[in-house]
Amino acid sequence: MITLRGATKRYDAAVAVDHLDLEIAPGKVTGFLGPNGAGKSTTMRMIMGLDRPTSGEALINGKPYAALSHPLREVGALLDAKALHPGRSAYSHLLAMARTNGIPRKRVEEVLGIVGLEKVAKKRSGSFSLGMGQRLGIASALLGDPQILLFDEPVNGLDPDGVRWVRELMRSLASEGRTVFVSSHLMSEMQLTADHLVVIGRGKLLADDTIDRVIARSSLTAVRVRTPDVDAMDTLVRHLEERQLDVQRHEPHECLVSGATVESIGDLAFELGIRLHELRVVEASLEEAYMEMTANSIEYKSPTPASADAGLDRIHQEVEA
Amino acid sequence: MSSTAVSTRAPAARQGRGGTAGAIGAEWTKLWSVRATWWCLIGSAALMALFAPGLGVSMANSNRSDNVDTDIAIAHPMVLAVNMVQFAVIALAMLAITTEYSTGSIRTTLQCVPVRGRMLFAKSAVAAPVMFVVGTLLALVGTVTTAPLLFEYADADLGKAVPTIVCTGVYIALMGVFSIGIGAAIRSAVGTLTTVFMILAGLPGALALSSSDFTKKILDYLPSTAGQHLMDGDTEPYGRMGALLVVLVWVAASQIAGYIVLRKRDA
Repeated sequence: MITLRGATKRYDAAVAVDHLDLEIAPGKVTGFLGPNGAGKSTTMRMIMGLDRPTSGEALINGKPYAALSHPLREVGALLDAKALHPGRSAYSHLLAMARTNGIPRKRVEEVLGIVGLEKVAKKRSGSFSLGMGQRLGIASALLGDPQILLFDEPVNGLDPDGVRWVRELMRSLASEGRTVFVSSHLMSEMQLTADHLVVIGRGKLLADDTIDRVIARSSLTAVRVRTPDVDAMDTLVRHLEERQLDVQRHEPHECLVSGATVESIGDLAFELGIRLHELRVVEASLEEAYMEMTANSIEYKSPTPASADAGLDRIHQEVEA
Repeated sequence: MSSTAVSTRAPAARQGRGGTAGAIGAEWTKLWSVRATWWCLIGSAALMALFAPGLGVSMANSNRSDNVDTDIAIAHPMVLAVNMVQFAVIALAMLAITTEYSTGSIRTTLQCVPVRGRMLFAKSAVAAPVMFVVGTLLALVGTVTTAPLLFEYADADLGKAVPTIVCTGVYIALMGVFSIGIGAAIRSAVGTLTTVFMILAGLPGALALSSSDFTKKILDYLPSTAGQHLMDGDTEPYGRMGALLVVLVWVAASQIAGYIVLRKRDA
């Protein structure tokens, strides 16, 4: 269990993390999302005791990281695959880590086997490719066989095979009842890996919910209504708007209604005697839901045409198309 | 590599292991698993084998040309050589902390040993004995290679030479611990080297040029001057115990500075 209570990190005037309250529960993969500069890495560094919160606290099983007597056996983390001496071999790097926590030498060979690096274990880690470095980082996270694991962008630099391997690893760690907290920029990857999502923007919590609910809450998740009768559609839209629902009509025969259920619209159409040819939920993708949620908290906006707002318009049009 | 993830359980490790002993073990592993350690050792041995006999020969020569027959303690040229050679040895201890910051591995180290003071202690606890052994061996090499070159001026009193050799080991060990404190406080390799060099060589060099009594007094209390008194076993301005105390105060100050910075600043 990872707990954040009002965790805040301030650098001079800038607030990196702003009163974050979170509980990351065991037994599932919790995805950690947010635009660049949202405070994801700072949050993870506070959990790992590398950054001291300006106020509030970050706890592991109820204790601050530095109070853990054998931290590697409770928490494993891949925060930065390059946090090692490039001249040291993978084996020596892991052995030094193991010794600090009284982990037997045998376990070093074991984790090297798990990540598939046993053949290059005695080579200078500086000669490793990005993917191999990432695997070594994962090996160091698994070293103490911890119940809590943190991964910051674990699939960075991995080939498709490696990406799938990491996904399966996360799933299997969570299925063993461990807490898995993983940050990523890849929404499609998160949709496949995570059960639960935590989204932050500008250091503030934007969402802490299951993937299904995050998608359902998005205004881009809408009900599409189609009827052959344009006059009937006019009537239906008028009634829907009287109920304060957001209706978008880009075609005479069609409209998109957000904030209403299929059932309520179906009942309304029945009452009004309107013939429907289509009535279904158009789900936003996780990426769309995420983009909508973080549109206002993007630190480094790209210039047009790919600005956040333009991107959102594009998404609306795609949903409607 | 692409096989399904198997996250086998680690064998139940005995609780209680790890801690300070574990941290020290890890620092030992880290020290001997990088090439820089060996370069520093080879470099310092080469420098000592060059400087100590060189200084010995020139001291004997000047005795000869000035027609004085004061004896030269066989370990004394080596003590003077330590002024240069020490930097190659100290680099060893300095790198143990500064490369952690330059490579980013400090983040891994502090994940393993989150108690800042324990990490600093472990580094110092490994550096001190290693550098004591290295310093003593270097002193031995320096003395043995120098002694025959002093010819008729050699004062081969082992009662003087042996304590000098051992005290050289002690001085080098303490300077290693001193540099680790400075390294923890300053973090950058260049900044640390510059600071250590200024305190051990630059400052004494500059003060030695002055003729005022006050600056001469300050000079006596700098770590490298005190170190020379410690190794040579002088009686003025203080004896070996006094010299040791002066060096220890410097070591304590640097360690405290390093600890404060470690506690205050994020990794």
